[in-house]
Amino acid sequence: MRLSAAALGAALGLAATAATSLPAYAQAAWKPSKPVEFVVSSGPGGGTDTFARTVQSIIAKYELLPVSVIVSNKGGGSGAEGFVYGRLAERDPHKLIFGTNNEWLLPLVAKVAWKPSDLTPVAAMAFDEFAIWVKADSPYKTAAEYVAALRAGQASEFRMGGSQSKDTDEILARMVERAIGIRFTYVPFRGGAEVGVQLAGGHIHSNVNNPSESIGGWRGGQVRPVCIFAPQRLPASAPVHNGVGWGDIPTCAEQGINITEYRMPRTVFLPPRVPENVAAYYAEVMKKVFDTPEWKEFTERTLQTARFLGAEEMRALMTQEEAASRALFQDLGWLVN
Amino acid sequence: MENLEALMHGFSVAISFQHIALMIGGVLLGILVGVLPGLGAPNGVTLLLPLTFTMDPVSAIILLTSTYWGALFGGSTTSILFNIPGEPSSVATTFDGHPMARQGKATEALTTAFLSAGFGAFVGIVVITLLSGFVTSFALRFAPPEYFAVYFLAFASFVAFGGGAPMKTVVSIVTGFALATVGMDIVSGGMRLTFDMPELIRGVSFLVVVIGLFGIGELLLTMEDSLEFRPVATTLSPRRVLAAARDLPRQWVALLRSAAIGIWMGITPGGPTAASFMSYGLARRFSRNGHKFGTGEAEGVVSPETADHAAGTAAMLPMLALGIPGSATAAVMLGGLMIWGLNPGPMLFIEQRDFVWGMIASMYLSNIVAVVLVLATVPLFAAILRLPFTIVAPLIVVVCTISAWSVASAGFDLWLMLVFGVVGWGMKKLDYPIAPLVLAMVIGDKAEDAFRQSMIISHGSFGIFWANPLVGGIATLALALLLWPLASLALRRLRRPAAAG
Amino acid sequence: MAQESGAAQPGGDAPLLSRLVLELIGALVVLGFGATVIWGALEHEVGWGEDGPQAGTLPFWLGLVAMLAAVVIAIQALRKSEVLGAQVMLGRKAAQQSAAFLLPIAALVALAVPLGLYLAMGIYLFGMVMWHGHGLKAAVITAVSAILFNWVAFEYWFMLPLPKGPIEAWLGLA
Repeated sequence: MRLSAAALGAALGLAATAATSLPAYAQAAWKPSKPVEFVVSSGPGGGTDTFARTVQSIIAKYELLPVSVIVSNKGGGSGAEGFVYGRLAERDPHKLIFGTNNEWLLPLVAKVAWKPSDLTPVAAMAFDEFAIWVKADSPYKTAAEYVAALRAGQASEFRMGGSQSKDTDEILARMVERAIGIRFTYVPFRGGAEVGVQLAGGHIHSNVNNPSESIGGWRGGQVRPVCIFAPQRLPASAPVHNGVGWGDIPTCAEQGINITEYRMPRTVFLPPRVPENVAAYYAEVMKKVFDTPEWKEFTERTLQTARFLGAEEMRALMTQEEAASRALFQDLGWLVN
Repeated sequence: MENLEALMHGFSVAISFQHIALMIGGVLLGILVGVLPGLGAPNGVTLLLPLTFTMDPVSAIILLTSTYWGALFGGSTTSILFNIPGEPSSVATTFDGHPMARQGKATEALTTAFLSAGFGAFVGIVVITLLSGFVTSFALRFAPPEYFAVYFLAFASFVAFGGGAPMKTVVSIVTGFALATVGMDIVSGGMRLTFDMPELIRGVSFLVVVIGLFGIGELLLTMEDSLEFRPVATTLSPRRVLAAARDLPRQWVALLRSAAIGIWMGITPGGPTAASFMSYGLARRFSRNGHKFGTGEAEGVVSPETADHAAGTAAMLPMLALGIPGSATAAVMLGGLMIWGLNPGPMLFIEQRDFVWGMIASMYLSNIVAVVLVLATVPLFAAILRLPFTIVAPLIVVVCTISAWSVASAGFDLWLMLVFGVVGWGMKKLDYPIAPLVLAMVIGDKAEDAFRQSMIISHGSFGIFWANPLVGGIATLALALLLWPLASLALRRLRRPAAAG
Repeated sequence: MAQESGAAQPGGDAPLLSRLVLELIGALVVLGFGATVIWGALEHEVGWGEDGPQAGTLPFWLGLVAMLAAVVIAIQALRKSEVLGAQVMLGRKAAQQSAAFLLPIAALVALAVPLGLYLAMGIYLFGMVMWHGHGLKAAVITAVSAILFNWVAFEYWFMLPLPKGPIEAWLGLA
């Protein structure tokens, strides 16, 4: 019964794509006919929110869409609310869902009502870096010194803060634990800003904030980065504090924490089963946004790596990350699906 | 006094024709969204955000903050006139504001509310102006145990002095906390009490519950009694506004106490809603007229309003200096800051003097603008009150429905509103106190998170709540407040037999 | 005790629900709510681990306390059953009036999504104003002006679209 229903669904889907692909010129000419909703899978002010609203502001400036844009925040349940909303809006070509890799990581660790493959990938437009931060006046000059202190002291008294639980920050924290072979204490907080302030106040020993979440604290001499999770150092920048700039931060691998790359993509999705020409249309709009000087300025200012992934590359990234994460989560006992 | 110098510089930045026009526009829109129960300050500010992309940051923040002040003021209007809080932070204003309106003192209630709110905001801005450096370093001392102690203190000071049957109060508190746990648990990363329903993933919206309990519940009660409108329409003459304004200074004790509570909660940051409850609770305990609270005491309006606005204003400081959003609205503004190209942090005060001090200076001006404009809207609402109730009531229902929808664009929330309407009716009929439920919903999840974070840090030891004088002091004070009624009861019992004997 | 019994609702409304019955219904609702919360909490660990309370701990105890409080409230009510039984909380007429107000709201909520909120609010307002005898003119003015005002406010000013139904689709507005 179940099988035949699935087969029927597939057949209908095929029929739908066949029908839409018939007149080739009409396919190319698809345009949104009513306001497009940007569904943001984070609360107002979060990283994904800034991402979506920056895209909105660029679209408005260059008039890249013939209709207006409505941004709605659906950040409940670490973004699950937004993805479920997108999943339920099947075939709706006027909704774009903005998120991160939580679209494919969340279904592994929490009982949620969508599968990673449900939504239609459109594009990934930037990759947010991660760094290990310590308090500005902490005795550890480098990440290697910090790890040495961890080894020497009682590891459980060392607290690393992060945003949420079983999310990107904790995943990275657990990966660091594995890389150095020591278990410390992970304390989950509500968001990156809060984790940054907890570090500045000296209530935790380190965190793995994104550069944009802590740049204000670094400039103000409250916190400083000791290593960055990237294959090579970031491009040189103007000094941020005390003559040290982004390009001067060593990579974590250099410092003996063997994680060569950890980045969070900023992603855009469409609801399930939208016609291909619709996905192609929005991918083109996003590519135009990506090519503007404003986007370059935004990614540079927020220290994100501007890199454009189309739908196919995104699918590959999703498959690869999901497989890798599944193994890690299995090990940590987090898997629910 | 370099801060005063900076403030003068700020005024020179803020005072321009364009900025004043933005203030007026922002305040008006704020009042409008503030009056509609589901639409609040966060919606108003989010709505304007795209407009600010093309503005310079000073104009942008002036527009957004003005909207915020307008919404805070507008929220009190419907609390007093219809018993429907337009903003979460004006729930406590209904307790005495609405009874006042029913006694035909709507003008006095509104005037008192607006002016004490203006006073609270003013004190908040003065604190920001003079103590910015100190406040920032103070806020940095707050770790999870301190947060928990602050929430505990707010809760203890409100609940411990409430009347009502103890068991029913317990039910109300427990229900509020339980509703707050629905949805994603950030400490474990799991979904709680969602029963696999996608609608519950985002949690039970506090706003929808309040719209149901207060809006629909209140109308049901009114309908059952009679078809008469309870708040008697009053003539709103400028003379009565002035008279109420002249009476306000007599409340100076309440004004100062509430402003202090508000600033404390704004900085720590417990938030404006918790501040208003805490202030109301403490006023009920320490005022000579405390026993008359709930029957239309002016002091019961002054206390929550002053604290609410003082907290809302003071919370701007941690937002700018540390990037911690003290409220949902502040979170939106922080997002705006990032888009305009500013990074919140200690350096903002040094590198962006124009922006920071222009904004602080604008807060003095826009609050004055807000008080004037909101007083001017009062006759409009008086006109609504003159319509027949059998037309106004269905209109209020429509406003409630739209508001419940606009919280999350979900049909499920409309049903939730209806259910809580009936629950609210039942609670009032059976004397279950509603306020503890509302407060528990506001601080419940934050308090639980802070508690569990503390336990993770201390590996399960309660000693962490007395680990330093700051957290120990707050925690002890909270415990003392919570146990006070029990202790005084015990004392009385002890004394009575002695006196008799 | 005696002065309480026999107190009738003003206006000589025929009694429908006594305070006793209503108290017991209330306790039953709380009991059910508590049980539901406990049921939900049991999906998680409810103990007290080395790192403090677990995900289910707080809801579990909240549910338990709610259920206990409900039992106490019910017992207290039953012990005063004579007094409370004589206290009329809801008369027939009052109940009718409440129901006549509540059911249309339920209809509004039920129709809001399938018909669209604009049409639903129009029908609701029109019906309510007509039913209270304000006349056709008042009913039409109330309904139409509410629809127009909200349309402009929410679709244009607030950019916060309300649900729309077949009528808007037919008019090409959705």
